[in-house]
Amino acid sequence: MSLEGKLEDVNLLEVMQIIAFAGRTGTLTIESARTSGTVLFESGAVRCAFSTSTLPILSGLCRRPKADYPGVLLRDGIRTTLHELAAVREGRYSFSAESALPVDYAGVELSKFIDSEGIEPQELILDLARDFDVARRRLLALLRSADPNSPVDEGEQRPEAVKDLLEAIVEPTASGAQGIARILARIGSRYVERSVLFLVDGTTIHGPDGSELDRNQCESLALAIHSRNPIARHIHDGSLGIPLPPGDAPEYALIPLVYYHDVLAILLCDNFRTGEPVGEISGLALFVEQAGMAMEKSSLERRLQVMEHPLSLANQGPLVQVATPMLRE
Amino acid sequence: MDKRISPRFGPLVLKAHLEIYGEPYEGYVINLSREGAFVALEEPPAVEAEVAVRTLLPFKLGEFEGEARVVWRSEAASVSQDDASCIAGVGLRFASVPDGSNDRLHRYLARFEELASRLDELPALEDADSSLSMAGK
Repeated sequence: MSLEGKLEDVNLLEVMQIIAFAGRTGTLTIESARTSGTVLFESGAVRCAFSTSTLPILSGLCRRPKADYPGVLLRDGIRTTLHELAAVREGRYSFSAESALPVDYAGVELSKFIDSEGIEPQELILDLARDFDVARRRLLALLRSADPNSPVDEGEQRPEAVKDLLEAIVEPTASGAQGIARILARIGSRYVERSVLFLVDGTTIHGPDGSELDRNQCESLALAIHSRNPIARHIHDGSLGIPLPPGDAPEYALIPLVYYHDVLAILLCDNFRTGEPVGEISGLALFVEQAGMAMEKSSLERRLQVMEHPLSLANQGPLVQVATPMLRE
Repeated sequence: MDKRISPRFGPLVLKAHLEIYGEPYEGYVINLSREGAFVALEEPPAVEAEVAVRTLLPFKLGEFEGEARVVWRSEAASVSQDDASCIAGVGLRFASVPDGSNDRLHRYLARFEELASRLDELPALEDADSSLSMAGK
């Protein structure tokens, strides 16, 4: 038997936990339509990792003399690679046990990529989870600052193409739009009469009117959070648990906005005026999914930009930042 | 692998939502057994504190929730032989767990152990030659 399967069932961090628990040496490969990557483990510790995005940068770095790229840069490369691979939602993983770290992989000489110390799996996985949570809290703050119902200014740019809207989501101020919530509401209005964004902050759900709810008191919201998939429910089954303004909608749909495998927000959709069923909203669900992926991509691109300048002061840590100007004097 | 009657599984990182005397805390379960857990927390509460804990289990198993008691605490960089010793947090012993949550916890640990055992069945470290193209077979 081998350890392999779908990333829809088990995400990268969960696979890493299993390998670390077993303390094995070997190669984990990740394959998806968007990216691929490899993580090398030695006795459960991560010694090397590269992906579609980080391999070209690491290759350039490793053409330098060894003394020019200290282990901290390789470890930063590992973390950035795992940021990219951890975001993969659909694809396959496969772990191949080996007696020792391979010398090369798919034609790539690995010796220069391997961090001599490695990173303890507990530290690495915990750091990644904390990074994702910090970014998630930043996005939540951004979402909470947005007013999806505010009027549109005459001079405001109104992006209509999906690509432009996704760009507006990752850079909300660049488009002049009032934030992610507003863009999601605008897209939602193309499919249903009402789309309301609820923000998920731990066990608390924040409504657009400032209300706060315990997510376990809202059965269907909790289900959408746990499954991370859209669900549709009858409005009269009592499972919503949210005091929505009255309407005639017989049913509602909940579409989770997922960011690094955690639900950041839920878009509630219904046709409260006409009482029509929610109908076909797969396009809206796809947009919400793309929005989450766009935010993950934006986060990755910021990390890659820093990584592309390995010898810049910003990437050398506070001690070097302070010491370097003094040495130049 | 932990050989105790109730083995401890880790390293894990499961986001945990705690309530301690009415105050909400966020942390990470970093190891877990059927009887308890270690939760990394920035400000660990005192030993004997009563804690309500919730965490979403992997493999789409749903949420675990239960009542627990702090049986030991760790400040960052404290020294012991325990693998969680350098992380601030608390060791919890579960005191009251609803049947549904208990079932989910058992299923999660069984699934985790089953996947890890697949690695034990992979070629041994000495068996280098036969391990080169193991994945997919």
